[in-house]
This record gives sequence, C-alpha cells and structure tokens, in this order.
Amino acid sequence: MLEVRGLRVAYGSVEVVHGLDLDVAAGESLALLGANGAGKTSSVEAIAGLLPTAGGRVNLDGEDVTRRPASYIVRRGLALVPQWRELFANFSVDETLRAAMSAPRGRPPLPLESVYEMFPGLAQRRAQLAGSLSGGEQQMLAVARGLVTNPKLMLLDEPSAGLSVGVTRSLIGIVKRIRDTGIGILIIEQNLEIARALATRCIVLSAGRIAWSGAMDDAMANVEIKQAYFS
Amino acid sequence: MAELLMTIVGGIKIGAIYALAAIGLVVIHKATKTVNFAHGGLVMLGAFATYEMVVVFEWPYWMAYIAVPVLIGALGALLEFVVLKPLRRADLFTVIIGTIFLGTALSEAYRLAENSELLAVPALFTGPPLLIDVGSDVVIFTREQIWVTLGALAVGTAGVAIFRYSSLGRSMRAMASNSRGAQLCGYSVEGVYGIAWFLGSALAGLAGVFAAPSKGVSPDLAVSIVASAFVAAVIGGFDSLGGAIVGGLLLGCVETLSAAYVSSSLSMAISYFLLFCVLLVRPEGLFPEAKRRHV
Amino acid sequence: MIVVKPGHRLRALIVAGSVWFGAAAAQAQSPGVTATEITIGALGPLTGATSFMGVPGRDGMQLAVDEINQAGGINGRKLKLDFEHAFTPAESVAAAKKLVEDDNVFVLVLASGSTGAAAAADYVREKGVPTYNLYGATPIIRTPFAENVFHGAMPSATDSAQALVDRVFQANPKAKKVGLLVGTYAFPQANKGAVLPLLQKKPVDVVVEEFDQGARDFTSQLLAFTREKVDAVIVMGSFSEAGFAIKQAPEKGLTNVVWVLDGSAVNDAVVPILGDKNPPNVWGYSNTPYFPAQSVAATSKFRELWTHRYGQPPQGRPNIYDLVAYGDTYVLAAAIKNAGNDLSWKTLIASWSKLKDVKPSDLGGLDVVYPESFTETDHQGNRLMGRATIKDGIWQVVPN
Repeated sequence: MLEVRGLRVAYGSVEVVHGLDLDVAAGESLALLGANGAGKTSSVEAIAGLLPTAGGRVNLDGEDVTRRPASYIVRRGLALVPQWRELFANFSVDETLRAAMSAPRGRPPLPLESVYEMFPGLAQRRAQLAGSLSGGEQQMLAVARGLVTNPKLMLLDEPSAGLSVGVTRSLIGIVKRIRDTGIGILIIEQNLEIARALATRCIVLSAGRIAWSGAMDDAMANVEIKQAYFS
Repeated sequence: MAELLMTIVGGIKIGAIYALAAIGLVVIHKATKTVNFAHGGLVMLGAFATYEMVVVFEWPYWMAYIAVPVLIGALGALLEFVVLKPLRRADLFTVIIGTIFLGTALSEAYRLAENSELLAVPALFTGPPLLIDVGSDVVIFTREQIWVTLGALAVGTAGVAIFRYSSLGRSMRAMASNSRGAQLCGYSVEGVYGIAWFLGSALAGLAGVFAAPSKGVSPDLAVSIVASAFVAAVIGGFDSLGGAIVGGLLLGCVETLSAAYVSSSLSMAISYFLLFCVLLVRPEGLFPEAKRRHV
Repeated sequence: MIVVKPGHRLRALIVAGSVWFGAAAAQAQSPGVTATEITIGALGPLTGATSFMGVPGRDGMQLAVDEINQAGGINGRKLKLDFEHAFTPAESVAAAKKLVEDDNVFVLVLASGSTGAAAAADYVREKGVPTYNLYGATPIIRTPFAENVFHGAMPSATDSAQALVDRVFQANPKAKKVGLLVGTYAFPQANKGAVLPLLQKKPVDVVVEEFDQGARDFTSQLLAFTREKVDAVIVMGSFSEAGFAIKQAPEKGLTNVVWVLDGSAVNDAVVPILGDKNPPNVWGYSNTPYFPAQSVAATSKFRELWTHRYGQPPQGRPNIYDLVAYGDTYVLAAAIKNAGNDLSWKTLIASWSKLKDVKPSDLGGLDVVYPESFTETDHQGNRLMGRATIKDGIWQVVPN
C-alpha cells in the first residue's frame, strides 16, 4: 500500500536521509527504529508531505504522491500523527475532530461516535479546550484526529514520548485495534518493547541510512543491534 | 441633548464602516498572519465598482450589494494566489511589504485609469429624514444613516459568525492555530488562504459599497480607510473580530465627539491619540485573544 | 557656462554678437527678439497634482499664439512659445533660469500656481525680465512691488477674500452670523487669514469650524453651525469637501443657509456630490466673465477652437485655466504691440503699464477674460469677479 523508494530528505544543502526504501501493506505494521537524529521524523514527514523530498519516490496505493502537499496526501488516505501533536490549542476536543472531519477529501470521514467509542477518555471531555488537556489526552486527541480522516495508513511519530506507563498501555491497545481494522501502521519508536508490542517488522535507521531490517523478534534477539542503537 | 444624540449617531455610522473594513483586515490576519496593507485599496475598488454599477450601468442598487463583494472577494483571492503566494516562499515580512506595494499599485492604477478627482455615488435612500422629538428638541435620522449603520453592522456580524461557526471559518481558524496540524487534517494552505482572502476582501468590498455615497470614490479613500481600519483593529486587539467591531464604533464616536466638543480640527489626531492611550493601558488591545499554550 | 548678468553686460554681448554676425542681427534689440520672431517663455506643471493648471496654461497660450500668428503676428513678427515643465519650487526656479539665461526668452509667463510663482519671485525680480503671473494668488509674487512683474485675470488672495464676503451679503444682506468651514491644510488656512479680518469689519458674529484634508463627514461642524444658528457658511476647501458638507447639512438640522464656496471648490464636479442640478443658495465667484462650460457665444466658440486644435477634450477641459492662459496671452500681445518696433524689456514694461481696458477682441481674439488695465504703480490686470452659482448642473456666472 505504501511504497517508498530511494527517499532522500535535505534541509538546505544538508542531506539527512540518504535513500530510504520501505513498504507497508494493508493491516501490516512496521516500526522505524533508530537513535536520535537518525532521520526517522524527517523520513515520515517527507512521506506525509510536510517536508519536501530531495529525491526518491513515494507511492500510496499505486499513486505517485511524491512532492504532493500534506493536505493532498491526507485526502488520499495517509494520516500522520506528528511528534509534537500539532493540535489547535483553542479548539475544543469536539471542534478539533469536526475540523478534521469537515476538511475536503475524496473519502467519507469516520462517524464521530465510533471514534469517541474508541477513545472514552476524550468522549468525557468533548467541550474541553485541546490546550488544557493532559499530555496523554492530547496524544489520544492527536491519534483520534488522524483516525477521523478515515485513513488507509497511519504514521505515528513516537506516540509514547513523555507518557506514563498506564497511558502508554492504553495507547498500545488503541493502536492495535486500529491495526486490526485493516489500517496499515508505520510507527517510530525509541522504546523497543513498545515497538515489539505493535510491529512485526522493523527498519533500523542510522545516520540517514538503513542499518538493519527484518522481523521485530530477530531485532530483539540481535544483541549487536540492541547495543549499537538502543543502549 | 438632541445634539449629543445626533453627534453619536453620526459617529456610529462612520464607526460601522470602519468596523466592517477592520473585520476584513482581522479575518485575513487571523487566518494568514498577514497584515493586509492593500485592504484600503480593496475598499476603494469596492466603492468604484459600486459607482460603475449604479451610476454608469444604472443597475439597481441591491445588485451592487451582491455583485461587489463577490467581485472584490475574487480579486482578493486572485491577488493572494498570483502575487503573495510566490512571496510567501521568502518570509512573512516580504509578504507584508508586498501588500504595501499592492495597495499603492491599486490606488495608482485607479488614479491612472480614472482621471477625475472624485466620483459621486448617490445614496440608496433619498426620502425625507425621520424626525424624533426628544424633549423640546428634534433628532434627525436619515434613512441612509440607519441603513448604513445597521447594514454594515449586520454584515460585519455575519462575517464574524461565518468565521466563528461555519466549517469554512473553522478551516481558517485551524490554519491560524496550527498550520501543520490543519494540513494534516486535509486543509491545503493555498485553499484556506484563498478562502480567507476571499472573505476578507468581500468584506472590504462591502465596506466600499456602504461607504461610497457618504465618501465618494477617490484614490485617497484607500489610505483614509486602511488607516482607520488599522486603528480600529489594533484597539480591538487585532485578532479579535468582536474587538474590531467595538474598535470601529469606538473610533467613529470618539472622532466625532472630540470634533464636536473639543475642537473640530482634532478628529484625525484624536484617532491616533486613542490608539496610543489604548496601547498604553492595554498593549494587547481591548479584546486580546486567549493566550495560546504551546501544544 | 556663461552666466549672463542683466543690463548692460547682456546688451554688450549682443552688440558684440551682432558685430560678429553682421547687419541682419544688428536689428535685434533684445534677447528673444529677432527681425521675424519673438520668443515667449513660460513655465508650469505638466505632470503632478497641479497639472490641471500647467497643461491648460500651455494649451491656452499656444491657442492664442497660433491665432495671433495666423493673423500676421505682431508688428510683422511671429510669436513663439517656449514652455518648460516645472512642478516643485526647485524646478520652477530652474525652469525660469533656463528660459531666461539659456533660451534667452523675451518675456516670462508663470503658468504655475502659487507655489511655483512664489518660488520664482525672487529670481524674476532680481533679473528684471518682464514677467506675467497668470494663476499665482500668493502675496509673495506681489509684494514688494516690482516694476517688471504683472498679474493677469486672477486677483490676489485679498481680493478673492473680499469676493467671498461680498457673496454672503449679496445673498443675505441681513446675515448676522457667519460660519467659516475651513480645512486644516495650507491653502484654506491662508484664505481664512484673509477672510477673517474682512468679516470682523462687518457687524456679524463669526463661528469657525475646521476639518482635516479629505474629510467626508462634517457631523460635528454642522451641528455646531446649527446650534449657533448661522445664516451663512463660507467653505474653504476642495470641491469634494464642500460638496459633502453641503449634502450632509440638512440631516444635521442646518437648513436655509447661504453657502459660499472658495475658488477651488467652484468646480462642476461638486454637482454630482450634491445630487441636485439646481441647489438653492450655493454661491461662489469667478475670475472670468463665463465658465468654460457655460453656453454663451464666447465660450462656445472657444470650445470649438480648442477642439479644432487639440481634438476631443478630456473630461473637465477646457477649464478656467485654458481661458485665462488664452485671454492673458492676448493681453501680453497687446502690450508687445504697443511697445512698437523697438522691443526691449524697458519699452515693453512701459507700454504694459499703460494698458487700459485691453480685451482679446482688440487683436481678434475671444473675450473669455475680463478687460485688463495696468498703471505704473498697479500691476493687477483684473479685479473684477463674477457672481457664480450652480444652474442646470454647471457653475454659471450670473448678473450681480
């Protein structure tokens, strides 16, 4: 469903991702691992259209979406839940989700109630302003906002960052449910345990290049990888 | 007593036009972070289009109220797409400088194309004024006065309602609140900016239709309107639509009252004095938007 | 560059030149004069905010020059117009210098407003070149008196102020309270300075209200006039300011007053603002016996002449400045004619100072200006001012 070939990303003249290849099929989940500064966030933001690509190709469902703006790519069914959440601080929970629902797109959005059903914590805080939510609730809202757009594929950039163990656990549960509905998942994680809970395959990035790729369990068993990138 | 009332009524009428122009300015600023210095030029073109429709082509007046905002709105969106979008690749400052030159270009193009000093536009209502007894005195209201005041305020309120409650307004507010977040919802920057410029410019065009009979059409209209709208918007907090309405009405009344009871040569100076006082006491304006927490 | 000083040095140069060039040139008495031609220099704004004076200045003068030449010129010599663009004060001084010192014109015409005339005043006084001030109302070009500077159809600011006051009492001899509605910018303020002392000599109370340039709303000023129950209002400002004030007056309770408009507001463009082709009691004055658009024989023929020479006129042309430039060129021609064959600055100034009731028709032109007279101590050609009002959608001069 998502097919990335030779993706390169640069900030001005400094290239930070030097040719990334990856594939995510429907209902499959892939983890993108690597140390800080390895180029993980740059890669997913370039795939989602928030950053310009310096080279390579991004195919979504057979359509070449390279160099398309983020708004277009969302409409084609790719939702990014960004690292900094990028919520609308002065919007209520309800208004945030409605904003995502009423954005122009080719496919119908998910009904609001089915989303609330998946996020009972948000359902209780419909009228609360996004800026006044707790960190965990804000992360839930960011995921819910992506989900409302009815994506075929979700990109999650370190969803567990800064969250308590309890919140992280329920987040894992929600992402699993999303995956089980047939939505492809590409998740960036620093935490190997969380990555293993959600993904079956992984790619390890180092200094903008693929250092290792394979099954999640093999990566966990590979002491060299653990020591080199996650110590 | 009657004189005071008539002074205030006169002030509210000008204030309503200021408010309408200021709302357009604030809509564009809120959604695109651009202070549109070409706004006065759009008001002037709105007044000019009214002249063309009502005086030259002799269309019924109501058609100007419908056609002018659409026309000026479309022009604003076109200017944003053709002129300002390429500038946005540089930075925001360049865009703002761009609007200054755009405003000058609109006025000068008009000056070149239309060599008469001033075009007069008849009033919509010409019937006899309404007289209301206040004690021993009589207060005079003209139909035109009532129409302009209520009409401009109604349109302004409608503009505010669109921005606050419609899904179009929500897209603009989302883009203003967090542009990356809005794009990730599926809103394109160009699309939302185009809508914001359309709405803001349409309001400018309507301000021109309302202002045409009482101000006439001249290149000076551009500068005088943008100056007053700017002051009204800043008084209101610049990012508050309700504030722009209050700011406009306040400015109109203070100008007229000070001219009436302090000195008639003061009205221009007093608007800047008012601005200065407001900024001194409340640097964030009278109606600051709630401070945003970084999310 | 040779800077030529006036007087004997200049003449010495010409004498030297004539010796050099032989007998033909020896007949030239003065700069700008040859056996067959007299060069008239003129300056005025051809672009910029006051081009509504300079362009008609050039066109009106050229029209008269062509007519005079077609009729055989003056004493056998043809006239030639050398017009220089000058908008700012600096440009006006530079243009005057160029015309007098480089182009060697015989006489200098100032077809600029008060700003240009004021700027050139010192230079022409010092130089002694015969100078004709067409449009400048400023006192700077008038005082101190200079024997070489003459003024045409447009009178001084003081005379105009008197005309404004006269219009009030012509329309309402019993006026007891007069309102002055004055712009806060330069020209209205200068005119206010001229009108106030004249009003103070009359048994009336004066109420002064001011407004900023470009004002469109006069609520406070009009309410003050209503409260004071003024009988008349003199407006000093542009036609648009005057127009909006008059239009707004009834809604502020100000009715049945006499409106007197300053010269610059006496413009047909005020009519659509008022929305009334025959507004009652709106008065002004005119520097010419008729307005350009008024349909009388002289102006109709002038319009025909103008269109024949320049094609279909743009909106608002020919204007009053066309009329004055045309008419005053005839007055200048009469002065040159009376100076005889022996043309010099001295003979011209002498003949000019003796002109009495000169009209364009004396030399075959159209009488679109009032007759002009000069004496050795009074160089103001015209002091007559017509009583003007709006009739049938245009300003017209009506009998007093």
